[in-house]
Amino acid sequence: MRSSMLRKVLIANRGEIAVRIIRACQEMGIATVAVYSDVDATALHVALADAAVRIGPPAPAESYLRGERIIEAAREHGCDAIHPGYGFLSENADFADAVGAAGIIFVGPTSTAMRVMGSKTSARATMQAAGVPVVPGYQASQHDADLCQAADEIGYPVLVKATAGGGGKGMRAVHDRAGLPYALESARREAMNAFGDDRIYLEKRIEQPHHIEFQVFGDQHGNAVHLFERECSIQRRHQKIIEETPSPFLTPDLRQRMGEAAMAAVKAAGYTNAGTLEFLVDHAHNFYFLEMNTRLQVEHPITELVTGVDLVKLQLRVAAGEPLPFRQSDLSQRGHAIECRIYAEDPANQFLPAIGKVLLAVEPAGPNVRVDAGVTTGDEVTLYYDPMIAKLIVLGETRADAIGKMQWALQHYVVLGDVLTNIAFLRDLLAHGRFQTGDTTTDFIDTDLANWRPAAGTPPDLVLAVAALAETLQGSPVRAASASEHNRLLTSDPFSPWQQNDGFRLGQR
Amino acid sequence: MEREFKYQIGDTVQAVRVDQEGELFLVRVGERTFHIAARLSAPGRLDLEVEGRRLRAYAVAAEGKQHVAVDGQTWTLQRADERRRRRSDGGASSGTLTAAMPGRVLDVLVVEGNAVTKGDTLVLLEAMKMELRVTAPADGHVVKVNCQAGQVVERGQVLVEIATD
Repeated sequence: MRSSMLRKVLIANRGEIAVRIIRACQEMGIATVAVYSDVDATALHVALADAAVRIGPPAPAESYLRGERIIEAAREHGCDAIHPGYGFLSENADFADAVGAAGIIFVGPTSTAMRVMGSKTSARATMQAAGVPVVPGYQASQHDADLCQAADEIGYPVLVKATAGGGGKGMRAVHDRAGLPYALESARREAMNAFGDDRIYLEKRIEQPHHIEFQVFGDQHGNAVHLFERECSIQRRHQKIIEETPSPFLTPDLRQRMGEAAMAAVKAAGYTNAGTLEFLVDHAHNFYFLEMNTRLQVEHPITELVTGVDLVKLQLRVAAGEPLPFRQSDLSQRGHAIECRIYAEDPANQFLPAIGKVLLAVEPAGPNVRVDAGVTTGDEVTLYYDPMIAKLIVLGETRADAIGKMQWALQHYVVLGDVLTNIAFLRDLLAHGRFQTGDTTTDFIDTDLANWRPAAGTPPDLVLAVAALAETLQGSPVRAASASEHNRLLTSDPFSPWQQNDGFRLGQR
Repeated sequence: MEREFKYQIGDTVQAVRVDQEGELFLVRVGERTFHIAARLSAPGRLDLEVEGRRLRAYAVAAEGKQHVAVDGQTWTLQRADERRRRRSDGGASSGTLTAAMPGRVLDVLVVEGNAVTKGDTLVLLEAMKMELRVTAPADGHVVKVNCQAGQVVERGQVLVEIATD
């Protein structure tokens, strides 16, 4: 039975977030339409949806970024709304406008709010006007001469960042004037490639900061809340790996002040639906506004677990015009949640993506263990998209309890195939003294785990024994002296015992 | 009847012999003999009892490899009697610089004959929306350029050959 005014939603995304949104729709009795590129035809999100539309070849620019094709698909299927997920078109104000112009609801903020808060430069200006401290920076000019002078004035180290950017793409750290020209050129190129926009700006690099973000939510009736913070300081190459809430670093006073700053931003921008305010907090507990993400975030599950609020269902409700079903005073944090991102990457090769087929995935299951997977048994991790296999999230009674539960879950997460994963790295990270004490700043991995290597190589005897047993029990091709001998055995006698794969054994008692 | 399986471990071939006696398997790995009670409880899933310990393991075979997960660790074993595909190492042979992962060449910054200094960028690659630099591992000169801008490359593909001084 449908519990929403929305009857059918198209999910303009792929992977685990598309699966997440489809599941929320299913819970609410809303019909779902998936879109897919050629390499995603057999992906999990396509298999779960009620209908699926092919939108193009693998490259995102030819498929998941083709707004007009996606809107056309939503029209063809009579969809009430489009949920953009995260990444892709989720923060594209032109796309939000086009969706609205087609008479379809865009599940997210208004394009106006997106433009104001989605651009790093206007967001900073808006926050400054609202009295919220921002990271010292420079955004007035794109000319190298101006940028060089501004960098000198801000004081090194300086970060060059992409205006349209996110996820660490188009970002370069500069330690002195000599490194600036290459950084500018390189950042521009990466930004153009990732976002189609090579504008950049400068920011003071705050040393050893905590990256703490606040989840906010506004409805179309003027109500707004924040759902507390997420600590995202475990990052590598500026990409988040582990997130947790509550932040072990925040005091109740700091949480209150940052929450107020987050609400000031929502009010200043007239923000509706889900959003996230990112802050940097230095060791002296000064906080600075960094940027706002005008969409749902990857790490939203940890907020869901400690607050008990399903953020995706809330997005759909608010988009349909319903008011928020609670006030700020109704919300609280209970327990401690941690999320680990499981990536298909090779820890022994600079964590570069290790693509391939997942022959077998066994996700851990237990009390308060949650897996948001986009890739499971039989799926392929390809070159074209983010190599994320799944998000693994746990809720514990305390931080120590959550860490123990996450260790258990990582131990029991099996991924077999040519893909390699960062699971072993995550386990060592969780066991590290600094993580255990909550002393985690964004340079933690670079300083303490820079030389991490997987445990040494030769398989124990037991592993060899298990491999041989598996072949025995599951059947395997007869080992012939040569390929031609093998073929002869296969084709000469259809009733030959060598043709059977049932573990047939001569002389068995 | 005893069955034998062979796995390539580094430079050596390790033979594993499996014998069944009723419910029990005798598995010989080198000098060691395991007595294992084993059952295939689901496709790819083995429930075992070995040396007084119960455990659950997973195993899948494909393309001459056996992928195994035991005690929270995964291993990929190369079966020794299958034909092995040759793969080039990333820059292991002297002066050969290869693509560490599949991608696309953005720019080639040298030509044959150029002198290079350690750390010089030779080729710019794009993959997974990241920009990667292939740099000279030592001082030398460019012997051969094997790629061009716009070309799609595979992991292990030779990009540039240099002779080090």
